[in-house]
Formats: sequence, C-alpha cells, structure tokens
Amino acid sequence: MESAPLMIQGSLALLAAAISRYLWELDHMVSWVVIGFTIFGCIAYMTMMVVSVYSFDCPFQTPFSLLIHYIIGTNHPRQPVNHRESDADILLGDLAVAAVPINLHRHVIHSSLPLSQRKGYKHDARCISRMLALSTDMGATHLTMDFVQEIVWDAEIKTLPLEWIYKKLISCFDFTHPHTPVLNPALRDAAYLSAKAFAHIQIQQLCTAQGGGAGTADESWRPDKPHKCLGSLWSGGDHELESALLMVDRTFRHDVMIPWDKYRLKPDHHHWVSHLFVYRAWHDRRGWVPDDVSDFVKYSLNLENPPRKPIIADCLCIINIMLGEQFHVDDLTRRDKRLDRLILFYDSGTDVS
Amino acid sequence: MVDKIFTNISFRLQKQKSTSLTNAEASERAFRALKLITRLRTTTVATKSYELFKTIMQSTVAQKRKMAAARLALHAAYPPGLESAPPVGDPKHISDFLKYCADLPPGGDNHTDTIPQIIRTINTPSDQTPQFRDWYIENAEELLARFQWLYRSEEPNWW
Repeated sequence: MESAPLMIQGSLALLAAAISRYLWELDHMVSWVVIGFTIFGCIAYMTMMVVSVYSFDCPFQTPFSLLIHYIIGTNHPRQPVNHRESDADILLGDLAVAAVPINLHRHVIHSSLPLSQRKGYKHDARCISRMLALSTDMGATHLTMDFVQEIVWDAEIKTLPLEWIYKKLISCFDFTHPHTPVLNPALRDAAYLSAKAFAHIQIQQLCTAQGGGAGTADESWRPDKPHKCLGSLWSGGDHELESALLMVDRTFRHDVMIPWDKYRLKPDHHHWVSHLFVYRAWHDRRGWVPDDVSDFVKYSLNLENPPRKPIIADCLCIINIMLGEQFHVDDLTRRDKRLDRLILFYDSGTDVS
Repeated sequence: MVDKIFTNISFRLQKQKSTSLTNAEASERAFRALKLITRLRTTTVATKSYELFKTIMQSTVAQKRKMAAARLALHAAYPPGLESAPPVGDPKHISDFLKYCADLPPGGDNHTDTIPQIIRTINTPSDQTPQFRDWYIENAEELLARFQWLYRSEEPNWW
C-alpha cells in the first residue's frame, strides 16, 4: 500500500506524456498547453522533492525524497522534544552523571548546543501559543497545556501563552464566595493543567534568564488586579492540584510555603515538581536554596516507598547545587540524557554514585 | 553523584575548599546538604556516611557543630532496616562520639534514633571490625553504663 503514491504519480506522468504525444499529432498549439502544464507539474514536483530532501520535517515528502533519505541515512522522523540527542548532549549528560563540576558559563553551554534543538523549542512554543489562542475545543486545549511541560521554556523564548493560561486558570474558580475561591468540579482538570503549565513556564523563564538566574520573567501580561492566592485558600484534598496551585502562588509571592509533608503525590506529578525544583535551586544558587525546595528534597528522600529514580536524581542535583556545584539546568536535553543514564545505572543494579 | 556530594560536604565542613563562599557559609551549606543526603537510605550512602563520620571526627570544627554533623553522618551510616551497614571500626571516634552523647542532659529534641541504632550495631559482633571488637570487649560495660537513659525512655537534649 505504501507504494500507491508512487504508482499514482507514475501513472500521472505517463498519462501526461501520452496526452502530450497524442495531441502533438493533432494540433501543436493545443499540445503545447498540455506540455506546459506537465512541465509546471514536473518543476513543482522536483522543488518539493529537493525541499523534502533538505528537511525531513517538510510536510511534502515524495516517494523519491523518502528513497533519497533512506539512501543517505537520514530517514529519521523528527525526534520528540524530550528525546533529542547530540554529541553535546551526550557529553553534558556524561558530565552530569559523573558529577564533574560543570563550571561552563551558561552561554558557553548554549552555544555548544545545536541551534536546531533550540529552534525546535521556539517553534513548539509558538505552536502552543497559537493553538491555545485559536482552539475552542476543551480536549485540544488540555492536550496543548499538557504539552507545555515537554518544552524547556528558555528565557530566549519570547512567545509566551502566560496570559491565556492564567485567565484559563482563574476562570476555573468562583471568587464570589467571601473567603475562599471555589473550584468548579467540572473544571478540575483544566485548573490542574493550567496551573502546571503556568508554573512550568514561569519558573523556567525566571531560572534560565541570562545573567545566571538574576533575570526576571516578562510580566507585562499580568492583570492589573493583584493575584489572589489559590492554593493556600483552597483545600479540596486534591494534593496534586493544591501543590500545583501553590507553585503558581509562589511565582507571585515569595512567602508562600508548600507543605510537602502533608502530601502524597502521584509519581508523575512528583517527578514534574522535582524537575522544576532543580531550576529553582539553580536560580537561587548564589544565595540559599529556598526552604521549600529543601523541604521538598527532605520529603522526597524520606518517603517510606522510595520515589522514582529520576526524582532521586533531581534531589541529588539540588543537593549538589546547594553545595555550590553549577549544573546546567538550561541544557535543553539535560532532563532526558542525564536521567536516562542514571536509570541505566539503577537498572544494572548499581547504586547511585 | 553521591560521591561528589560527600566529597564536597567533607571539604566544606573542613573548610578546605577555596570558593567565593565564606567559611561560615560553606560550613552551613555543607551541614544543610548533609541533613538532606542522609535521608537517602542506600548502601552507598551508608558507606560514604561512615567515611564522612571519621573525617568529621578528625576535623577541627567547633565541638558542637562537629558532633551534630557526626550524628547525622552516623544516622545515615546505620539507618534502621538497612541490611548491609558498614562494619564498625575506629573505636576512638565512636567512643568519643558516644561519650559526648552520654554527657548530654536528657530532654529536648526527639530525633534520637541514632544512638539506640549505634548501640545495637556495636553490640553485634558481625558488624564489628577485629580492631573494634578488641576494644569493645574491654570498654563495653563502662560505655553502655552511660546510656541508662535508653532504658528509661528519657531522651537527652541533643543539640
């Protein structure tokens, strides 16, 4: 079945040639019209083929371009954002696992990363912003907000859907009650995903800013009204949602504390928090690692059932940052390469060392 | 990664690492990091913690801070339930530490499961090195007599 396009294209070419040849016998002028269309079609086809060979991401792949990709060995679809790999990633991953002090300045690390990877995140960010702005389907917006976590929202990314996500989050609550915002139960998932997406973008933007984390995120989108704390007021017994809301609150106010000891987090949510807290630890590396980050590490390492290995790895990273080691949290693929290797260590029965 | 953390802690507690941090800051960071890493219960952490304990006991850090760090290190070296804890050696360090703990007044901080665990461990011949065993046979009675509070459920005021 996969050769059907080739057969269709071949048959079209034969048809065009046959008609041209037939009409040439009848009338040269009419034949030239058909030949003109055929030549135009051939040129368009060749252009598409060249473009497709140049970039595998091109949506106009032809059977010949696929064949050329196969011959020259570039027949890989575009890798998902969290599985990109390059020599630099492997090198940095090795350095992180070996815990060699990485004293490279962040822009040195930046420049060592393939431009295409950074462009990939920028493209993804633009797509997310556009999708959120245009889509009216709840399922689509949920999927899009879930995808936010797959991207490293580097400070160089300027297309931020923060305002949209913040409005979405606020719209899930009813603020007419005198003391506490009340969550619309039907919008629980929307609130959770938007809180996660918002905290994720804000924290990464802040913590990867040039100048070693001293930068501040663009806050021009902020509403005039001050942010009303959601997590500290709302207590619905949903630990994932509450902690995500408190992380949102924490991006507005530094005095918000998150009571990790109270929570029993699901592994996915726990991993997400640990990943973001590496950024927060990095951000404050010139001062103290914030108390809530320390509390989180304590909570994670203290659990009776040890958490997932990547979470432990993140905690170890945070402790290392606390000791003054400079890890590269803005390495666009740090999360995957380092952790993949750590998981290999664990799976082979080796202790974390 | 754990190796690196323990090396850093050791250097910083002994103020040997030249960094932009002041000695007090470096020491405080190391202490905070030690509090966190000792929550991880693995064989590697236990072994490294025991090594760190020896380093701390040999260091010239202020007595109170030294003993607090030593307690954390020992707590991680001999956590309850860990099957393969490092064998107990260096009688001098252990006895110095236990004597210091025995002299503390009862009451206060309730984080005290370190001492009973240490007592249990040094009482177990299979967990003792030959050097420690010889010393223990001679000194156990006197040493354990200092820990009567263990049997009265009284807790000392640690630090």
